[in-house]
Amino acid sequence: MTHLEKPREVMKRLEDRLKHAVKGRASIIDLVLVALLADGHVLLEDYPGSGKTTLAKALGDSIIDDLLDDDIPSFRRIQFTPDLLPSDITGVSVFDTNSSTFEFRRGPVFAYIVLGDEINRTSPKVQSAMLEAMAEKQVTVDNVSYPLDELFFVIATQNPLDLSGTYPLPVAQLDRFLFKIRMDFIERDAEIAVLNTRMERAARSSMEGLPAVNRGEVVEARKLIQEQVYLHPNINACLVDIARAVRSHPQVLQGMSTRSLVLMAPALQAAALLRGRDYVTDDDVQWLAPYVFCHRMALAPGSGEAAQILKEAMAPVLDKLSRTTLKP
Amino acid sequence: MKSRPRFFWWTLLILWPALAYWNQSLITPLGGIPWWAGVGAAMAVLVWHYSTGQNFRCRAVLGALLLVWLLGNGVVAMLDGASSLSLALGSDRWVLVRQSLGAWLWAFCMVGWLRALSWRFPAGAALELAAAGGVFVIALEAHRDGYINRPFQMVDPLWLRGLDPSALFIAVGSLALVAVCVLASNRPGNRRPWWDLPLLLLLLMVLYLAVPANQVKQLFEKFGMGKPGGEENRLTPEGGLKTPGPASPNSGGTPDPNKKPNPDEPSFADTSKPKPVPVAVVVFQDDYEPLSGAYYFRQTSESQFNGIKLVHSNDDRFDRDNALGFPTRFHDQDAQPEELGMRVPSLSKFLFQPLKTRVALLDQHPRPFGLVNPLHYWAVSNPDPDRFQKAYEVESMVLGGDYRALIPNKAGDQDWAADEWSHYLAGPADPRYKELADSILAKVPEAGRDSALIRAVYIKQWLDDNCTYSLKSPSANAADPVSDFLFGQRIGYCVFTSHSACYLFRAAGIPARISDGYMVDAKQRGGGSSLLIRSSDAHSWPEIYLQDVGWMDLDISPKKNLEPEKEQVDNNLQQMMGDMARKDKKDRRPEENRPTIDLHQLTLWFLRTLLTGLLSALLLGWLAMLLWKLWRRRAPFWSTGREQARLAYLCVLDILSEQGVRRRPDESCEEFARRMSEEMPGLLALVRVHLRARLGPPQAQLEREVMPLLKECLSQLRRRKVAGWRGYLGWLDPTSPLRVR
Repeated sequence: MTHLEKPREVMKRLEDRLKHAVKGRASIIDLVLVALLADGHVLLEDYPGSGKTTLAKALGDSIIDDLLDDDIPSFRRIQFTPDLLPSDITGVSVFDTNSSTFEFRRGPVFAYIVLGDEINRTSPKVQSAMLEAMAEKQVTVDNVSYPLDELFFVIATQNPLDLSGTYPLPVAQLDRFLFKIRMDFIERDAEIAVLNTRMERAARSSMEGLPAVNRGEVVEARKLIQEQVYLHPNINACLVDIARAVRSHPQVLQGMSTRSLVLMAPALQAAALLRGRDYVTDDDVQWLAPYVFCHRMALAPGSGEAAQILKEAMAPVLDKLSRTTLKP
Repeated sequence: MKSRPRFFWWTLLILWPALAYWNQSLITPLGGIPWWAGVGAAMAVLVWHYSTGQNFRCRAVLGALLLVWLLGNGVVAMLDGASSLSLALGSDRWVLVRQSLGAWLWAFCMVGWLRALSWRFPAGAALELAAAGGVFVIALEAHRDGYINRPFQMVDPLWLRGLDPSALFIAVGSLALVAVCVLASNRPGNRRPWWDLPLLLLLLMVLYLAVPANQVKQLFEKFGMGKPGGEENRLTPEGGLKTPGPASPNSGGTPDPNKKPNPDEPSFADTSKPKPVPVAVVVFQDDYEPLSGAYYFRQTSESQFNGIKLVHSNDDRFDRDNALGFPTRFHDQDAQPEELGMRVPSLSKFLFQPLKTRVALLDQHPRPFGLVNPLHYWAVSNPDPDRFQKAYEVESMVLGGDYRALIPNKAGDQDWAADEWSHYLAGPADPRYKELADSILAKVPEAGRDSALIRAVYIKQWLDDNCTYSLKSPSANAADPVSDFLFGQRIGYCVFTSHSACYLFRAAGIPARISDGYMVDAKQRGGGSSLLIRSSDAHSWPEIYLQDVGWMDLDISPKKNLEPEKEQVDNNLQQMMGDMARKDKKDRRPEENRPTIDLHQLTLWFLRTLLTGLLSALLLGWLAMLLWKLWRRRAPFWSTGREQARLAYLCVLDILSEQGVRRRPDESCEEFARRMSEEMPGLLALVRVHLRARLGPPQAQLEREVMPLLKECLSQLRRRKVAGWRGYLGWLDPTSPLRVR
């Protein structure tokens, strides 16, 4: 664990800050942290006013920009609307009359943490611009590519109801998101706590006492986690078995891609570290699989929940893995 | 398309040909025809097996088989028309070929149809089961209503060998059920529930219980067989069964006595000649051709001259070489002949050889008879109480070699006392006997005058030449029948000839007597090992006594015969009876009734054995499982390293399983530990240590010491409250380690 002390420390600090800022969302905070450290993006599906902006903002606030000269802020929010244009996100080249040259003005994607609110409200044109940035970590304007920061993390949201006039993301584009998380209303006690601590949190000074992390520390932690957390071949085999079981399920039209399995690996490692282990177990698989796989499955019309199908396909595989650990 | 049958198709490859073969062999057991039916069925199963992988429509398969059937029959009909073929082959061979082809076609098409239908439709499967059952039903049809002794080719061989065919029926029934089970389990996989086989086996048991033994009837009345072992259950010489009539005690149509069924006391009274009845079957255990050309079976002897004829001697010393009663002792080297009141004269080992025969009596008989000279009698168990009254074994000393070897032997025995000599030489006072004997012996050449045998043979030959055999004798009612016969017309039967010979031998100074029993021509044996004795074979013959030879038969066979030839014995019947008599049942007393197979008892015995076996197997298995469980409990204390972590975790899981707590299938180990963490805070750490050893980096050391964790867990487990019986008796549950996940 010696090498992993540092990433664990980074995680702990982020966790503390986020859990202080957002009440009753511990599980989602964990998932967001896993996605951040696994270098993936998160799609939150929930209702307005459920604290997602608070979460994203708190995350942005927790990361200290230690590269002052690059002029990239730690947090930006984009509210997607139907009349938005790609340049509104990526930025635009403006003619500078003083120097008689085109100067690129960076759009809001140039940030460490980007909150894309109601991503399904905007046109596919804008969605694809956003998704290029997410996949390639760069934006292309006027045939010039501008790299985004290495720590580029998107939290997108969409409203599960009120779908009129929206452009739902197709499966291929949903594939860019590591997790799709469906949020439910928080519990009573947590909701009371939200109301009770309203004033303190509004002041935003409450988090001051808790240590933040540097951008460099997060990037370093990502690297270390991928290198140091052990992923047993049996777990990989187990992932493939789950994928095959899902693909052969009669109600599944299209199962998850191999890429999703590849993306799953760092997420598992981050999850293992979050739980204080330097190795991945089936418990991590069980925890993350629904968030990673469900939005990548295309089901036959009239089928049940993807989560249920996945659970059915996964249970025997994981049970077998647990049993093999008991054998000599 | 159903997947190809994997496991059981080869059982069909055995079953269907066997059924086809059986069915055909019941219809036409001729030559190779059943074999061709078997080949056809096997080919059908093979074709079915290899066609199931292909995408044939059912209709196409059925149609193709129909086409094969029509074509095949057409070809046969066409060949029938072509007269040249049947001419070339010979018409009988052609019929065989034609029938074989027909059987092949029948089996191939029927089995093909059934298989194709059964593989595709549930109703087809039922049809196939019905067809297979039908083969058995047809085979057993003659035995409906529980009659097991109808004459039928399946049971006849058993009955003839004296075996109870109940076992055969049980076997056939079991085979039928096995066949049905095999067929039922050959249905396509998705239509085969797991309880198929147990259900069918249960059916089998129920069937055994439902057919009580008393429903098995024996059809005696209809075929006139009478009760097993009864009087009327006898075979007639024609091989058929005698129709029961009023059993007359004097049915033994011997030529001499009609007052008695046995040839004991000969009398000169005339008799009519009823149909001969089989009396006994003699089975030779070795090949033997008698010198005289006939087998003599001696039952009694008469040597006491009473003034007219020879009668049994009341004196203990004479003629004690015949058994007085039936043997009761089973074969035993120590059995002494004296037990039956026998006293056998010493016989020359160079002239005689031992021969064993088995006699099975078909009729009541007052005393045993044996091939001359009987030495020992032993009881044997009755090979078939339905057929035979009694059976015994005789060890005889039979004369081998050549008569010429006997020429030097002196008449009589040197050890005889004077009264013994006079007993065997006593004859009628009539001087004509002496004169006749002397006149005959005058023709004996000088060299042979000293030989008792040559003199006796000369007398025999004279009688042969000068007597006429007839069952009606003019001398029968004379006051002195022998002298009336000998010095009269000389027309008579064996009693006359033997008495005449005996008196002449005695007049010539050769000790002689008359023996009674049966005489069978050696030709009748016909190379087989058994000999059927009929009532018409009863005979009496003269015997002379030679030193070292003892009593030797020297029978008179008159050249002139007024009687028709004796009816020939059917050799097949003779051999069949011999086969029946030969069967040995070592563990049975001769008079004991045959134990019947009781289906109920058999089933109960089977169930009891099954139950006992199952219970003891269960008990043993339970003990073994408990031991295994105990070993798993102690194993972590005896191991080290990574293995210890696993064993420690297993040990804790075992105890939890015993207490009724198990990981759910959709739960991970850690989730389970978290679920248990309230009661067992130590478990999560133990799980982590275990999982790190199994899923962690390969060279990693154990995270923590296992032993303290295990001890902590065990102490927490001890404090754990367990509800219900598991709290006290959980350790008795042997299956708890099996349910650990």
